[in-house]
Amino acid sequence: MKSNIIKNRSIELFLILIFILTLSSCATAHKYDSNKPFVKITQATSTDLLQFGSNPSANPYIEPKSLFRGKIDEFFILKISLNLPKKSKISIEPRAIRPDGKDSGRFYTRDSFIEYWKFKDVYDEDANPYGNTKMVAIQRSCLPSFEYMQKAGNFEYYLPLVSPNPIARPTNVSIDVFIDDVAFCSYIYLIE
Amino acid sequence: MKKLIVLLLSIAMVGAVSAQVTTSVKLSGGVTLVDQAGNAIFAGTETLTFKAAEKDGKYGFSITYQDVLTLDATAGSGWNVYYVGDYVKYTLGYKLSNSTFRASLDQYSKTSFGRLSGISDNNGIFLQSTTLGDLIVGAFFPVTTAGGPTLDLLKGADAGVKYTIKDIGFAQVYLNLATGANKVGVGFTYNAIKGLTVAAISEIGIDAKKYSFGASANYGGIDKLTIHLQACDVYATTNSFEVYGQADYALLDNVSATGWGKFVSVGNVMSVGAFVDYSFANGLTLEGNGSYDFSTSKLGADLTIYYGVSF
Repeated sequence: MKSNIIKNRSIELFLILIFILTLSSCATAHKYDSNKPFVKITQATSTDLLQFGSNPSANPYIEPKSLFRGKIDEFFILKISLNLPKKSKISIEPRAIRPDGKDSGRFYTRDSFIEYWKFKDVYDEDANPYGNTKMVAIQRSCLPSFEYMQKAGNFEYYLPLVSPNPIARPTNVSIDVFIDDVAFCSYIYLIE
Repeated sequence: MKKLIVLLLSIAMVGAVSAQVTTSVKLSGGVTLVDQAGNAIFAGTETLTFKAAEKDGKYGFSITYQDVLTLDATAGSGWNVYYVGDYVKYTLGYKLSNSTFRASLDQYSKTSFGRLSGISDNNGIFLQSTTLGDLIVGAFFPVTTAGGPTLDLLKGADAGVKYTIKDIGFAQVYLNLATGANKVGVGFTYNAIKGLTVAAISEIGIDAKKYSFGASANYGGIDKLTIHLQACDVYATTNSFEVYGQADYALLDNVSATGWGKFVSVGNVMSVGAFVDYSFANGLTLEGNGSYDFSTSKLGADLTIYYGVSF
């Protein structure tokens, strides 16, 4: 009986390993495309963000809302498309400035956005029935960090600017991108 | 307890008007308006939460009060305060809860083994790294209200690791060394393919001689349809397994329909069901439920309002 159980567990663990290795090989689908720019930054569209679902409890890019006060924070989501021929150090320096020179909000990367939602979510972090879906979506899609090593290939990330609702208008959003410590490009947006 | 709640609510409200402090006051639970027997009942755990944090999240506190309807001082409530240092986040609390190292399946509440044990329901000190990039390590040291030898802090310590493999997924490992628990858990979540998330978790309860394994997959790449599949296998003195499947379809932005089926090997219980959710008013969801249990030949139905609201 016991040897059968051990045998079954060994088979299960072996299958998991094979499964993970198979899936990991699928990750190579993000191939570098010589017809695309190295870096492209746009404002995320509603279609982009609806890939995470229309349920506000599950989609991390839908703003938290209050029963009486409506939208608590406002998001401005940037979509960063990277298409790199080789593994490179990526540095991204975003700023969101009001006309009086003050910051309009804060940009969140992966781990800080997870902490943001742990704070803002209506449910206790262990009790949200969609909490896991939301956290996995952040893990997959949010910019890992303002400075990190990016492997070669074609990848998309989202970078949320978060401000107490509403974001001050006008706000100038500028993003400087460095690849391997060399200034590569700058993007400027006006939120009005 | 009531005085403490009033005090914290006051702090939260004062904080709400301060630019230096972010606050959050939340209430969640559910009310079944009518079920198949014609009864109405409060469904689930009514939970009230206050949180406040410095605007950049450097320090803050949280207090959660469960079963607010009964105002029962023995109910599972908890609090914690934290400070994020240059290298470590320090948390001190009563009934701490931290999901960083708690690997979980997609629909974790739908099968008996859906996520790893965590440090919830323990009191003590929790340390978590903040500067290791894709690697997060943490350790928990229990402090009991009954008191005990200082060395027991180490004997009952828990440890966790989370490692993110960019563009592939993340792995979580958790070690619960508390006497009577002694559990080791591992989990891996794969999310490299757009719309697909696959998770596998396993836990060995050394003292309890219990082995659990679970796997789940969800795919949301088919227009408005999301498919969830999940299974778990638990061996203690006997072996048991469960299989669960669910399909969600978004009819409108705030209306979704779901069908599900579940098999539990213990007792050969097969059940199926469907529900429709209508979300409205920033946190209220009206849910109409129907289910059928083949083992008991019983129909179930209810109409429930779930609320998860911020103030």
